[in-house]
Amino acid sequence: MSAPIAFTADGPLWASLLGAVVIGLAFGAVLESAGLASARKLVGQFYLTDLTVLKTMFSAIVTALLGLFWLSRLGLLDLSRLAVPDTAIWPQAVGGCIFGLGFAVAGLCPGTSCVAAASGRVDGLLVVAGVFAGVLGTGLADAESRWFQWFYALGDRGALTLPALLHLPSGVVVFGVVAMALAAFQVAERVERRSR
Amino acid sequence: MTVSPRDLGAAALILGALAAVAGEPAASSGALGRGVRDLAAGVEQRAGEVSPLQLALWIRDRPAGLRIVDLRSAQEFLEGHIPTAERRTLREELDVAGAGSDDTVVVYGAESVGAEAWVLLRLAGRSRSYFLSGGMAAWEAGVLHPVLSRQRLSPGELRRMADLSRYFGGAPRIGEGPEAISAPLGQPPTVGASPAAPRRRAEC
Repeated sequence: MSAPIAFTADGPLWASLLGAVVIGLAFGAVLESAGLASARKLVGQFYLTDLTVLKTMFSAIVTALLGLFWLSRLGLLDLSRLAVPDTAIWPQAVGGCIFGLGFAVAGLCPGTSCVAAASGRVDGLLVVAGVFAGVLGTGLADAESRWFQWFYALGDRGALTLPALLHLPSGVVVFGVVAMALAAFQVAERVERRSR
Repeated sequence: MTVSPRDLGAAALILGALAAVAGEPAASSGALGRGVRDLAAGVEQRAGEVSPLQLALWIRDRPAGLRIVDLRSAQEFLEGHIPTAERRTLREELDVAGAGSDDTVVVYGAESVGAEAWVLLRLAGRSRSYFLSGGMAAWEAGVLHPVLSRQRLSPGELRRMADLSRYFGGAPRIGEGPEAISAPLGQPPTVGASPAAPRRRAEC
């Protein structure tokens, strides 16, 4: 498992695992307090009756984006130590469709399924089991099947970032994402009011 | 004092607007960038290296998006080059193939030139670049005039290598000694896959 920031690149493994546990607990606590352990609330996203998921996730993205940018701009964070996941267009598009389908059917995503399982819900436990089965199956297929390896690399663009893709300064992209998030919040509020 | 969502939104908008005019984030404080660390791991694992026989297998199978680039002089290229190779200088290759290109490129030159070029291509963002181990001399010794070890290669492996050599107009010989090829052919890396750095996956 890779942490978002390789803060323990020069340190021991236990520090990395401890950091992951602390961040994971905080993430779960925030999801729970936002009410995202409820499948009803999550599925409300797809019926446009409750857009808490969009607002929570966009709030998290904006907070992290502004935090990373300004901490880095002030010299308090080394952005080059940030792990950027690779972009492989086709497998990620297919994976996104499967993810969305599972999300709509189960009413839980991987993060919220852990929260639901921790609170003793059987559907949460089943989704966690499904997530692990999927991860194991993908790993085995990636190790054994040349066809799968070919597919997994289809449209591979390496570690791609929005500033590099759009040829824009990082700060301009940050402003664009913040503006997009605020506009999305406005639209979400309006949609929720109309559905009541 | 309570902070309303509207206040938080206004604060985010102000910080975002300031970010647009704040300039680029500070450069890393003396630490190597992740790209350089990944490249260092690739060099240690010899991840960009393709052996002459593996390259021959690649060229014979003609996968889409494969380019072979000869970095030697025009005269050397005319005297003999690897089939399907195009001649370019390193600067031309760096200019033509910008970051994000989908092609898989294998570079070669005399001796270690290919390895040096591979490092620069990777630093330029060409994640699907390889180099021919040993350069043109290794191609001639390994594909055109290979000495195959009967003692250490299985009959099937020996025939497979000899057929591959003949496919390129080579003259394989059976023999023993330090120059004899004794390692199985294996499979070249998948065309289209990025060597060196392990794939990083997003997590939710």
